[in-house]
Amino acid sequence: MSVNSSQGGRGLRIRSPQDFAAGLFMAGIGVFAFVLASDLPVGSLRQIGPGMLPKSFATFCAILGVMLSLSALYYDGQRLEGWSWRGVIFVLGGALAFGLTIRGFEISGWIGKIASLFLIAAITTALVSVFLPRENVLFDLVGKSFGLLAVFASVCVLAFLSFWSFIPAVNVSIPQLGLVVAGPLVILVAGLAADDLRWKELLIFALVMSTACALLFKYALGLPIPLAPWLLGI
Amino acid sequence: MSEMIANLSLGFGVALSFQNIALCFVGCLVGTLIGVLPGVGPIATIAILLPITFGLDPTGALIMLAGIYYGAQYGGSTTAILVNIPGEATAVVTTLDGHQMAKQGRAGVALGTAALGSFFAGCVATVVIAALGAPLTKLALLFGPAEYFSLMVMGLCFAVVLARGSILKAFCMIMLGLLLSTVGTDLETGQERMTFGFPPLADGIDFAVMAMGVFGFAEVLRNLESPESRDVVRTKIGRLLPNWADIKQSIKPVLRGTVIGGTLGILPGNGAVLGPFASYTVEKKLAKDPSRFGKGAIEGVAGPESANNAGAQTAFIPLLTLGIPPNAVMALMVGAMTIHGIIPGPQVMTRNPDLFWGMIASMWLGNLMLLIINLPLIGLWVKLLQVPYRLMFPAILIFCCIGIYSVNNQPVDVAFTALFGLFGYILIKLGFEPAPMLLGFVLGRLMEEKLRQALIISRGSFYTFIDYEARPISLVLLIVAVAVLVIALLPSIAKKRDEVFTE
Amino acid sequence: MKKLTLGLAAAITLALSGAAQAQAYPTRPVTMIVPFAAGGPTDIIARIVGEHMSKTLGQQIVVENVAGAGGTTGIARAMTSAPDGYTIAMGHLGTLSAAPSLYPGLKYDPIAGVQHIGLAGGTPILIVARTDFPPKDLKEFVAYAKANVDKVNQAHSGVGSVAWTTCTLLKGQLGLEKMNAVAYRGSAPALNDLVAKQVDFMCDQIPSVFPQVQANTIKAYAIASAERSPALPDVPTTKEAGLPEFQIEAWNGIVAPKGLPADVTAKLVDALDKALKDPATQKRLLDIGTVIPSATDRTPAGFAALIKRDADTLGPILAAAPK
Repeated sequence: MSVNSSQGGRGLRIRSPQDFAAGLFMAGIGVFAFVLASDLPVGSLRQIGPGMLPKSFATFCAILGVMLSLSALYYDGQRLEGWSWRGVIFVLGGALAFGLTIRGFEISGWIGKIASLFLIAAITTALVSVFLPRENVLFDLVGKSFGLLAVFASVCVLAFLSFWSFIPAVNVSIPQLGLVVAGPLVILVAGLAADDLRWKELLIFALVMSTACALLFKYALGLPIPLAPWLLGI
Repeated sequence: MSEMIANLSLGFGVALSFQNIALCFVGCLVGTLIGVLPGVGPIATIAILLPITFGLDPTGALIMLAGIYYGAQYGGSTTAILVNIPGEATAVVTTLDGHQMAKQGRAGVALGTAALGSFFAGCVATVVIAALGAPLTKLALLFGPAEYFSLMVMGLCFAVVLARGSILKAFCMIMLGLLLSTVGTDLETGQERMTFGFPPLADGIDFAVMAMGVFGFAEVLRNLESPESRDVVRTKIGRLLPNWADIKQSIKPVLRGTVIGGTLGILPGNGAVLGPFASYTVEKKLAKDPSRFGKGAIEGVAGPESANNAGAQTAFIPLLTLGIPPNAVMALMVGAMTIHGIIPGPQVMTRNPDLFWGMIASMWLGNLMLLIINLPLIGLWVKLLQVPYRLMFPAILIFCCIGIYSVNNQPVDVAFTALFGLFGYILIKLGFEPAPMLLGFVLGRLMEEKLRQALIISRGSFYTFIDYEARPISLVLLIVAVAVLVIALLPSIAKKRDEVFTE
Repeated sequence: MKKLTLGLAAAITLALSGAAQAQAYPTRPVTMIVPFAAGGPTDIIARIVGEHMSKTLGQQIVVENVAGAGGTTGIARAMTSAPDGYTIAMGHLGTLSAAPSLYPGLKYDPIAGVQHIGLAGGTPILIVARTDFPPKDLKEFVAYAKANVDKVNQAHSGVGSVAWTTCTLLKGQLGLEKMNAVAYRGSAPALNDLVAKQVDFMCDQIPSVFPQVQANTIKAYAIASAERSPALPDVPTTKEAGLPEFQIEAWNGIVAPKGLPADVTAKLVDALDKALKDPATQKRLLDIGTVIPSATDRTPAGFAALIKRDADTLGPILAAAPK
């Protein structure tokens, strides 16, 4: 597809930043998936190998992504909206805390490395967001949120490529805390995301909801959820 | 005909005993409860209640377990409408217009339409099972890998119609869903694909994890940043039940949905998931003003909900007449039968007629009970929407977390759901619709499996899919697929051209 | 309500005296991990046996289904938990004998790294085919398969499954490694296509296939066990039908983490033994075609020997199998 810059005589510019970013996102996923699947044999039509469909789907993803980005040069569309980091961090963090504490969890080895990789990238991104001047090429092009996301992603990739063997692995071992801890934890952490936060109310709500959930899931439905193995043995 | 009446009267004789009515009620009640709770599915619940049924007679036990299954299908739409969380693939479509209706203060109408439509579909499906169960079994056996693959292709073409905005973006999402469906251990060779060597990914991505992430969590994130849109749910509450105009608008979609869902439900390998999608596609294409869809069109709730429930009922046909379960819940029913000393297989109908017809009669009874349980509950659900959002979303979150954990008893799943929440949030920011992705994801795995099976059997010849002598069904399905695609694409291509020319 | 009271009572007792745990095992419900989705043969056997074991132990055995990676996820979870007798698992031929040859990074050693309790039930393997498949008996089948190796389609329920493992053994013994294998996601869809005559034959456990054989929707060539099954008395054994070397059973047995106290092991072994001696439990197992394990196989040592024997049989063939 040739980019006809003379069309309409208005030159080449991004008319739909949202679609442009969406196309890059898709293309990125396609390329990433293709790389991941690169060592899987494609096989033949008679005996399709494990790699044939993942690779084809990844290729289609990339092609569609490029088409979407190109179409963003022709059709006017929406701007990229800002992000609400508060929601992402507390809501998803709350869920993560639940997952880590309900049965206990051990982070070590390469998962520990990934964890510290993300930590490094997060710190770098935070520093960039504080020290980088607000008016800069990166933010102008794709907006602040996506600019920071790009910084985060590129630090991740850079660190992954160059420092993998040097990255220290985080070693954390969380005991099996059960619903007694995980329940209030998820509500308290997630509750921080609300802009009309009321501490006392949230605290009471966390206790009431956790008790209700324990009764409902553990006793009424009989699901095998650990309540508090360290305290009650169940 | 007289035979059917005799059989049904035998069935009702069994189902209408005091104990069985009570068990049916308990099953429906528990089913509704777990259906409403996000994540907690019928599989976990039936598995847990199985030991409790050991003391019952087999018929009563199975009546109760069946009640849990279709009760959960029913309850699932409540969560889809109220908080935009589809517990199962079949509820994805309900979120599209159902949740929009809730946001417009029409939650009661949406819930009532879903309940009434499901009741009607359930009743029809029960009669179909009773009258035509045995002959319809043949339909299940007509679908080999090639036919199934063509059916999946047709389903993917439906996904294009699901999209509200850009068709190109819808294609992106379908492809992404297909790509994600290939993650995990390869069925044919056992090789791990795109798992990063991470053991929890070896079995692929769980549907509940993905759906709850991209729908449930992402919706919470979206609501948190736009207080205006979430307050709409709280402030404006309209009628609690559909009025005559709503019902009149829903009658035809319900009828069509029942036929579509009921037919697809009979197919093995969980053809029922296609039912709601197919029904939605049909309604959107038949509607005078398709642009209402995705913005709270009542037909978009009535049709798919009927299809869902009809499919849930007719899925019993392969189980009862062939002894082969078409999905995971039915596989569990087979297990339950076996544990109760009933050998599930083609001979259940002749060997255990009281069980066979008792279960069928109980399905009608169960549908009636679900209506009785659910209609009064609508008021309660709508009231729940008035809870301040700052308390509502942590509650949604803890229910989701426990629910996700209980699917496989794996804490990693909760972390994955959070990851998919972030993913879903990015998709929202980039203007993508997650529904086509979920359909692509659900169909992708089956599609790959069936494609490879069909090509191994045909020794690598694609002719097997269009062989009009040996496999006419496959050919017809592919023709329908192409037709759907053309109908979906033509207006948008024309529109884009217009845009280009008017620029 | 009773469960609630019991649970609370147990909880309070435990909270008051932490040392109570070691005194009279079991003081709280025992979790039996079944590494597959509920409703399959392993799950059914676990529930039937577990129900009677609960009576002997005086505490409920709660079945917890932890599916994943051919069942190895669930077994690994159980084997890495505390060896206190409150987490045991129901393993089978695949997870205990075949897994070491299939999963290089396996987190447990099923022979030396676990505490064996005993065999719970043997589920014989049948060779079944679509009703209009030309060969009439096993001898004809072997000849036909050898002559038409590129035409016959074998179905199985995924690499690592019992149907795959046992049929790979059969094909290895007959020199038919090149035969077309059609993979399905689980036993039910494979069986569906066999009934629908889309594929030619498969090997699977008796609980899955015998209702179809009884109803003549598929035909059985032979049963790969020493004796005929009472559920299908007309189906000859592989020995009778002329293929004596194909002897394999998809047994299910209980394992616990290594380091289990001897008295706890003894209690579990005893509970399993009592369950398998109970006529009602026996009948329920026999009804689905399961073979009641012999007195030696029920012991930890006998069970360990069985795991090792089948691992030795399967190992070389699975390692050489085309995947």
